[in-house]
Amino acid sequence: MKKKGWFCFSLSILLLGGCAEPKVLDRLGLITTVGYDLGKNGSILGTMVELKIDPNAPKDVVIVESQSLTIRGIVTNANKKTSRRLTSGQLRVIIYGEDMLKQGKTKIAQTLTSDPIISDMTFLAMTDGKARDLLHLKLEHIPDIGIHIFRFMEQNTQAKMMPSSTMQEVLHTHFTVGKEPVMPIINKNGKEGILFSGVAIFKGAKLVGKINTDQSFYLALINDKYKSGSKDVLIESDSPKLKEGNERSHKTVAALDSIQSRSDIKLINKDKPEFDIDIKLSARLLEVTSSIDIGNPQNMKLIEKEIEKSMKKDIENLIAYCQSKNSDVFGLGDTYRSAVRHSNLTDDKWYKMYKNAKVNTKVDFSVIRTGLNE
Amino acid sequence: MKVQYQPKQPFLLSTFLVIFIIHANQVGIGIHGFQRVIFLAAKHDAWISVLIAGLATHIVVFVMIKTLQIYGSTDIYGIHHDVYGKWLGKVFSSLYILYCLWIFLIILKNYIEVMQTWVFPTVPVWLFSFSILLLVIYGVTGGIRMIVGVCFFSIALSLWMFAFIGYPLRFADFDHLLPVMESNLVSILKGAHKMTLTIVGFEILYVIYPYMEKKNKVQKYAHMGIAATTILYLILMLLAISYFSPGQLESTIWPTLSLFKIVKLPFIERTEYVAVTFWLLIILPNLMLYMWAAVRGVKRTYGINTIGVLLVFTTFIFVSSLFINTRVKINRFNDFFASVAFYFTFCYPLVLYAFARLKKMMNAYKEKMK
Repeated sequence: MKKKGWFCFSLSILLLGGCAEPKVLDRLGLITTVGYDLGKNGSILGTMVELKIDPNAPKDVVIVESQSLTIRGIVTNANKKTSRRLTSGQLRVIIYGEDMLKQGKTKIAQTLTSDPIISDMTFLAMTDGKARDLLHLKLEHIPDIGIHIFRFMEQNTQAKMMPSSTMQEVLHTHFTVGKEPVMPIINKNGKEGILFSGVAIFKGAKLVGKINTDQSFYLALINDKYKSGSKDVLIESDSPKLKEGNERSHKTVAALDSIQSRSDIKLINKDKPEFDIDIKLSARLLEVTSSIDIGNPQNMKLIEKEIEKSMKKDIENLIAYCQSKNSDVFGLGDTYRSAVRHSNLTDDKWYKMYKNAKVNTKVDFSVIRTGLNE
Repeated sequence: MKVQYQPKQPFLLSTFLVIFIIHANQVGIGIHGFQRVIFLAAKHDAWISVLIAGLATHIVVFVMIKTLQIYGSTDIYGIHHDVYGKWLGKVFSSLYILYCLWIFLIILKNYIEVMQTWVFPTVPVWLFSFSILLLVIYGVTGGIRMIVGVCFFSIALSLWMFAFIGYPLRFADFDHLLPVMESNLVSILKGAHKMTLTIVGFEILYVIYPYMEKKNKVQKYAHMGIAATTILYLILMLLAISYFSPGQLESTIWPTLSLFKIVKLPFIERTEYVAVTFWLLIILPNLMLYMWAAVRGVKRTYGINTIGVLLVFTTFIFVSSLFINTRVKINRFNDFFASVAFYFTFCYPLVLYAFARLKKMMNAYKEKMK
């Protein structure tokens, strides 16, 4: 009886372990980055960065292109051109060309989540122009464009320079009523390689506008919590103490560092949507480009007030811009839905309300310290 | 056939193991995807449905143990014999055996489906079901003490998975849960009804009861086991509602497994692959317990030798597992099972209790008349 049991046990282990399709690393081409553009006749042009594990090859990275009507078909078609079987298990970044996203109604990201081999932590990004051109970038100091873009995005997302746009997060906001996704825009930048040049904002799945990296800071200020971060704030003040700037430039700019922030969005009027956005932030003030004496508490108060004012203006501009594009990237609609019982909010309903929603911004800024000098 | 059944002393189990048996038998295949099914019915108040279903389970188990306590040391087959008599009792016991085999097939098929979609799309069904069935034969021939050992280890060895909750929690947006109680009561109850497939498993108590060392303590430990399951389901439900947005949750077939998709460890980038394959250890006690219950049923009702019966049952399961092969068929099979299982696990114990009570009263009356 005992023996029979052991026989069953070992046979099942043998069967379970021995019959699956083997995947030998040497015979695989790992796709690390993929770019999607509009192709001819309504097809999609995919550009894949393929990483080969081959010690003899002079170059590990190959760019493969193929066209197909479906996302899955791109990989299938690309296999016709490669010596190694292409797999998407190591896919880290997906880049969309601008024209692709302008179309809207592209269910590309949804299609990808249906494939279990693709991780939900894959970064999504957009590029002005064609994704193909970005991935074809050949520079001495970037041997592998795929990994380069991935590390670049990872580094900037962790430092909160860039809005985090993993597939999970983009789809999460896309499927939330009253919140729209954002994606960073990555562009070619001459000899230096690539550049984070702005943030794309969406209405549904359709690209409707772009904001610059400066504004993306304020977007993160509203949507997220800063634990560390840095930012230069331009101060436009009438006060003579802050007016001059220095000889180099006649603007007064304050450099903030170690920013900690918290934001709170509240619905204060249900019938005519009106929101209070309350932002509290504190930071280290390291540099001011005018000859103001920051050791003086009164001057410090003045700087704080002025920074608050200039931030408030920028945030209001940002909100006004997003409202004009009808893209609720702040999730005001979600706040509305969770505060109003039986609102039955749908996207269409919210688009109509959002345009005319009133948003009051309040910024509360304080300098915690000024570094080593006063 | 005797109504009472008293196993020999060495086969008795410590009573606290009931916690592990019930918890291990409840948690299995339904946990992969229950969030979506309930969310479709009760929207963001789905977690209330989970609570209601848990509460209902507590009540049913209370009644089940009360029924068993009328007889002292017996199982459902003995009760059937006593309540319905020789022939009708056999019919009901056979139905119960069929139920055990049916749920066995459901668990097996759903697990193979997950494995095929997720990790091994090319490995054929027969290979999975053949090797898993071999493991089940190994367990069932080993006897109840060994199966309970598997229950214990399946829980102890899968506790690490719980540590990964922290990862999805970072992306959780608890605003999704507001406003509370927006769905009406009917849809919340409908959601609770949909929990059937996920929460069944406690009915194994009907068969395992005579093996418990201290019968008076079973009640306490059984409720502890169910409470553990309910809390686990509640946590997973809250997590799924807040991690996924409504549209995402409605289209994700296995939310629990998808939650693992974002766990990224320095040495394993894609933890969900480990989780999916590891799940075999979690469903193994379910399979073994149900097969054991079916085989015991045959032995108790018909008095037939166990090994041959076990082989017939496993062959039967093996052949039927080959025919349910597409997602659509499996879904239909699950739904049909869930609708039957609801009456079998939640309504039938109440009926049986009433009958057992009635029978006892009649006996007492007859004694008196003598």
